[in-house]
Amino acid sequence: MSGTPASVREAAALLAHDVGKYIGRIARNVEGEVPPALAPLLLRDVYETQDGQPALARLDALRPALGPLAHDARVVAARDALQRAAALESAARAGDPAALGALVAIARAVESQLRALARALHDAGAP
Amino acid sequence: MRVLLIALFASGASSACEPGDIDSPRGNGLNVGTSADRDAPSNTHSESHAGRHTPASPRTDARAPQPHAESQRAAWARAEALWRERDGRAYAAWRALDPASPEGREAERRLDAADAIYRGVIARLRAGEPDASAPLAALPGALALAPIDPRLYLPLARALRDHRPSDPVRAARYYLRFLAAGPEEDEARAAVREVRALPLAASPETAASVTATVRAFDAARRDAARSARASRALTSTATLPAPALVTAGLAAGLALAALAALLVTRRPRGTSLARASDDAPELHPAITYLVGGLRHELLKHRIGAASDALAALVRGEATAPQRAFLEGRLFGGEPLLAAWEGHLRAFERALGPRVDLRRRDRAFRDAARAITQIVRLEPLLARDPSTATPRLAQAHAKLRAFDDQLATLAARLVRTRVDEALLHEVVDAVRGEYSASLVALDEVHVEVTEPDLEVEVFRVDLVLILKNLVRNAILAVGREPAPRRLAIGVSVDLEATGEELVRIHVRDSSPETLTADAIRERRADRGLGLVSAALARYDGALSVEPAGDGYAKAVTLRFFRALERPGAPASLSEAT
Amino acid sequence: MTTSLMHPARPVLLVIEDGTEYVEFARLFVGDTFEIHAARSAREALALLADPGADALLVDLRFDRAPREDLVGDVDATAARLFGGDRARALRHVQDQQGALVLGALREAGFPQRAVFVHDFPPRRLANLRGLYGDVHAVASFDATAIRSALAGARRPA
Repeated sequence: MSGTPASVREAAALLAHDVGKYIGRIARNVEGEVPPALAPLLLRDVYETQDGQPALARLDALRPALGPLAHDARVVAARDALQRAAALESAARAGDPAALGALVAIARAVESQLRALARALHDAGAP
Repeated sequence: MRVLLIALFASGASSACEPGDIDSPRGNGLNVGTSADRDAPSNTHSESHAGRHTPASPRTDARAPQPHAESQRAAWARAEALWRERDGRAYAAWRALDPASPEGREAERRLDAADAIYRGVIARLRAGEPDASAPLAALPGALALAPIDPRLYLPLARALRDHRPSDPVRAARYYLRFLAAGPEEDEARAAVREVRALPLAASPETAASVTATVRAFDAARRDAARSARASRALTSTATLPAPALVTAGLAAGLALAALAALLVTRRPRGTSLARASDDAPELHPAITYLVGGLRHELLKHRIGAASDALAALVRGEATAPQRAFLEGRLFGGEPLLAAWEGHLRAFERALGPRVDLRRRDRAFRDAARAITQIVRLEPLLARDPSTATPRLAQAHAKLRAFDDQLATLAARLVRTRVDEALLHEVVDAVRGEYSASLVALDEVHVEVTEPDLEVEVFRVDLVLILKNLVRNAILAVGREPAPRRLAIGVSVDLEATGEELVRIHVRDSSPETLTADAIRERRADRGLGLVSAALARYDGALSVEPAGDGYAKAVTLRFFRALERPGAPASLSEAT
Repeated sequence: MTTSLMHPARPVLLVIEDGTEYVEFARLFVGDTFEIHAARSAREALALLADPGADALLVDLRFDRAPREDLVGDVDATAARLFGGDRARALRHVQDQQGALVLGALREAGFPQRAVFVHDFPPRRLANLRGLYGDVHAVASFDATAIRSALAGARRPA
């Protein structure tokens, strides 16, 4: 985990990579029910990300560096989704299939929101 | 009068953020009085700037140790929020973080970097540069880094008063901000004296604010003195020393008055997007994102997509499917007005009070009108197409024009094209300055061979940095005998990482030694100290090398090349 | 049907990263097609490429957990050359771009195998990487389908 980002763009890129990319690692590639073998890995992606922090904590750490975009709809939506994931943690860890399924949807949504944010920030205005 | 001021305050009005200015403190409560409120930085910070103007004030070190990482993160989030809202307590909140924590270190790093810029601006104003706008142009960069130390408002106000006599309004504003920050009595008195003496006849609004402040100050002083006398009369052994009462009363009255003065100064709440964008480079990433969204989702997918069908309709040649398509785009799905409103709100959420897109941005107002027009034409289009169609085309054309305006705006954001036009602009500007104009240059060579070269640096900052280097070079060769030669060129190099480096070389024929360290050491009298701070912000670097071909040295700026956005499709055409 | 240790039936995918996310992912989602090996540094990768070799590489770009001595790239030289002597900044740069630098080292040692990055590169950056390192692909996310596509047909030189 590198130091604090120097710019909003960098913060968004870090969000997309530190949170977005890894949270979707397993979730992206699961269809239907989560196979038991994948469940622990999915749980790691959401609740322990890369360095043991839950994805929510990493997002909160990077949010201030987003400046005016900290309250952007996409960031807020990603955060809300991660909070819902936090609420699901015990059920998901217990192996409840509904909770795991919900986690998959959340992880995918968070990944695509954050990636879209990073890409849009890179855009110099051309549609 | 004080009752009136308090009422104004309680009504929740917030002080207007004026375009082009440093954060105006929006006090949510009194920035006043007791040192416990003030979370003042420790004296070590003021000592590190020994020799510079700092108020002599006993302040308690309120930076309590906070070993818990959680609370530091939360404190940092709060401090950041205060800064974003331009709350006058932001600086203190930043300084209050524990410097042993990563958040505290970051805050300290940014505060110090910004502080250097602010002080550099003051120093440059004092040094009396011929280029009037240059020192102040660095302010947006500093603002984007961290909140300003409120104690700097007074030296800044004084520097403006002394060295920008043509702009007393600006000086007055900083005096008022200084007063609103709840200063100590002696300085407050001096500030009031000085702001009162400014020639503000040409700006009645500001004059009125100053008058109000001064009156309140005098009233507060009288009241405080009166209550001090009264309390001394009541008890022969006063438990509170009279001066403290005076100070507290004074400061309270002043802060209230100055804040109210800022409120009462009916400045526009927000400006157009273009203006906010010019004045606040720290908003650029957000603006890029928001403009991109608006253009892509609304203007391209709905308005733009309907163009061909509309053109056919105008010609009277639209087929039924085309008409259906047109109606689908314009009138189907999410109602156009709701979509527009959604985008507007996203802008407002992100950009806050700096922009007023509903009233103070003509382009947005006109676009809103055009959208309303389109929505209203839906029933008419069915009933009476021959009347409705030309009106629809008109509204549509307005929105296309709006899209073009947005594209132009977006192109001005934090991305600068490095080309010969830019370099000529820099050289011409510097050569127009008094000292540089005295130098008889024998050769000035400007060359950029790589096309489409862009760096992610705000144009004003890049120009500022380059002007500093060019000025330095010209003055250096001016101290040498002929031939005096100057050359600016650009090279692009590929790194082993696949990234590209853009190097801008300023070569000159002066054998005077100059080291990168000297530049980095921020010797503000040379103006090069600001270069260091600006470069750090942009992840750029500076080096000095010997040069050949009749030049003695090259000062080289290095940036990473700005590439177009990532967009490798997930389904691989790369795989082929 | 016999499979010799020297010539495995399945092609070998060498995963190069400083953590375990990519390896886990690879074992789960391409482990049917590839035999998965892992390296945490250029040094380890070179050893494994020598024996038993690999048919393709899956590379992480950022190596922020690796110890400094395992990193490719002279931090001090980078600091002097690029960052005006700022060694902290140079270290961050070397860590952030480590995957590309590792690939460079592998190419220099004569290993031309296809490299797939899981990273959202701007098109020009990817083009530059291809210009430098030949058979290079990038997938923006952990998209198993896309990654399998990118790896399809990759084979070590005969």
